[in-house]
Amino acid sequence: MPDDIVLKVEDLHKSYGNITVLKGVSFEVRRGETKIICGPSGSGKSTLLRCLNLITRPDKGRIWLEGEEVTNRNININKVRQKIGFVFQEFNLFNHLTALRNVSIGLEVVKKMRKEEARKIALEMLRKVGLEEHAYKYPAELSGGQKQRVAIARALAMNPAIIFYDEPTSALDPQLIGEVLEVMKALAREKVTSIVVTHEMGFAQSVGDEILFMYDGKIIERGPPQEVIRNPKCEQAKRFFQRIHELYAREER
Amino acid sequence: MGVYSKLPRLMVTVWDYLPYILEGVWWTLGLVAGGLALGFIIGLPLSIAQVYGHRILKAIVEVYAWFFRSVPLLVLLFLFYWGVFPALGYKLDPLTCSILVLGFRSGGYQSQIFRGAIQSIGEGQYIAARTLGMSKLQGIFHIILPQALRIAFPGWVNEYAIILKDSAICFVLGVMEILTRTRYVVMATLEPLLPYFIAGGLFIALTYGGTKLVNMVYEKTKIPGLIGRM
Amino acid sequence: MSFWEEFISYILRGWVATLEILAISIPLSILLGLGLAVARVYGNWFISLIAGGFVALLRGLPLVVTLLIVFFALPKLGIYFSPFWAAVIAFIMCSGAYQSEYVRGAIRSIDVGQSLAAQALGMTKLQEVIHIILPQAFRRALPGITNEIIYLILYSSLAYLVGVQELFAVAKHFNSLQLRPIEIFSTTALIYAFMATIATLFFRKLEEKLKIPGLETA
Repeated sequence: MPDDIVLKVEDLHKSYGNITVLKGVSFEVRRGETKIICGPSGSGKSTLLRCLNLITRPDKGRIWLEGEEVTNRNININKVRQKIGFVFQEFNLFNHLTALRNVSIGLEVVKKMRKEEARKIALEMLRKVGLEEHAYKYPAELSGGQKQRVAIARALAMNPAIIFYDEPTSALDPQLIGEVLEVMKALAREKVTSIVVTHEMGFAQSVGDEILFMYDGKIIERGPPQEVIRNPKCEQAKRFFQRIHELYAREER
Repeated sequence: MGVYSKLPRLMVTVWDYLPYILEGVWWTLGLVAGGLALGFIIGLPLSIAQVYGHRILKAIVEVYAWFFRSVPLLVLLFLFYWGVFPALGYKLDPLTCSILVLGFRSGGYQSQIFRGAIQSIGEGQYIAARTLGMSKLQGIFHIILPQALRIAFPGWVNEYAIILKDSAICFVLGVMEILTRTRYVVMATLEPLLPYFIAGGLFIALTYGGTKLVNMVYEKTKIPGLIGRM
Repeated sequence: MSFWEEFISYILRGWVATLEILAISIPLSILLGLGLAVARVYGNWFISLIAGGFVALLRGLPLVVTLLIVFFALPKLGIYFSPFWAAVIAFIMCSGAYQSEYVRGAIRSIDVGQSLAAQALGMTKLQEVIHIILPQAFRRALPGITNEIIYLILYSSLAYLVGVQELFAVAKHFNSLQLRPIEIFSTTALIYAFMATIATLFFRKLEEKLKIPGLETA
């Protein structure tokens, strides 16, 4: 596998009972790329992300992370997850830890770093997302946007090969979405490899490298965001982007 | 007690002493029923006083509840049986004294169960009742209590289980309940294993069987929206 | 010596014995409670069944009966305990079982997202339980655990039944000598009430110290 392919997904299938959620998904993510995934609800976007870091096991198909086959049964899944950063829609910050410790705990417990070193890196990450002054606050004391930025810092701190964002702004109040998107845009410009499941089309067009439109468990259209969003080719994509455009009206935030 | 004279000759196999121990179940249930009922009669008014009464009344209730929840049952039994009741001039039999002590103590616990239930109902209901023109008493009796009793139910069922298990402690006063009889059997047959396991089995059956039964009744008469808490 | 002087010096010895019982029973019961809860939530079907059965048994039996079984019946199976240890073991088992219910409830009340986030970081299940789940569950279970510790303090009086010379046993013996039940037993009652109250205050302080905003009961 060429050196700059960070993630390769081949023919992923997943069913729950008799409902097939993923019907053969394949794609690649290059180093430094920001891949956007979008689609109507029920298209399988979240399931796809959860299969990628094996929170859910796919029924069929293979996944490679930096050349290593993740779907292989013999693999140490915890080691693999260290290389994947995950930002959840509901933040999932550890409620009993300060912002600083939320960011450093992965380093201490999983990467076995010394407390001092972990703390330094954590502060650095919080600085990166603009939250160093809130380092000692607990999640309950932070706004939604701040919580999500801490979550991003937590994912970044582990120095992952790729970051997955699962609808990172969907649970946020409109005024708070901007601060999170700013951070994500900055990271995208720094060429942090990532997959972003979102319907923020302004974000997609401004920093996305490729957009994958999912419908009914398959990727049915892909290409550069400017093209796909403004000139979707297939019917479903046309309808989807039309709806989004009506709902959001603005393209750049 | 003529028990000792009967035991050595007749109680050889488990089939001989099983009925003897089983008879204790009535006494145990008597203790439990008496204790629960007395506890209810004491606890409910106390809880109302604690929530709606003025400061002095509230303080009295709080001291009562604190005392009966901070002193071991064993100590209370001895204190009342050998101390308080004789001092007051009453010569009580073990059963009555046990029921009274269990009742006083349960009253302390139940007052807190009902207090929690009443407080969880929220001011709005009470204010609405008063606004309609009800007096304090009417508001409490017609609006608050019916709801509080339903909310308190799981906690009350828990109280049943607790009194059931505590009733065994009353063997120290010689009440002829399950454990007392079991101990007599053990002393007579010098065979502790089976009798104690029988006693244990009885208590487990009464605990789980009883709570299951009561919960079934509760389910049948539930009102949607009024969920109880332990 | 006056009655009170004699009484006090006598009772102090019993009190020390009670404190010894509690010093061992309280911490070990908390540990057992945590262990049983973890076994029931995270163990495989067999471990979970054993732990669940143990808890059901110890919660269905009156503590008196458990105590008497440990001290009087087990010797018939070849297991011997001194009065002190029989009492302590019975107390730990019984209280631990009750406490495990609180901890188990607390663990289950924790949002599944916390687990997901821990896994996403690459934590093993063990790391997740130790660093993320238990710190939160313990805080949520603390009021219930406090309740059980208070019960433990009060029910320690049952150790008298197997011959341990703790607070109540000493008081009763003294009463058989001096026959002043009201003074003797009410003082004993107040000593227990004192211990219970101090413990309540202590645990309330602990709850305050451990408090984290946003981590209150679900």
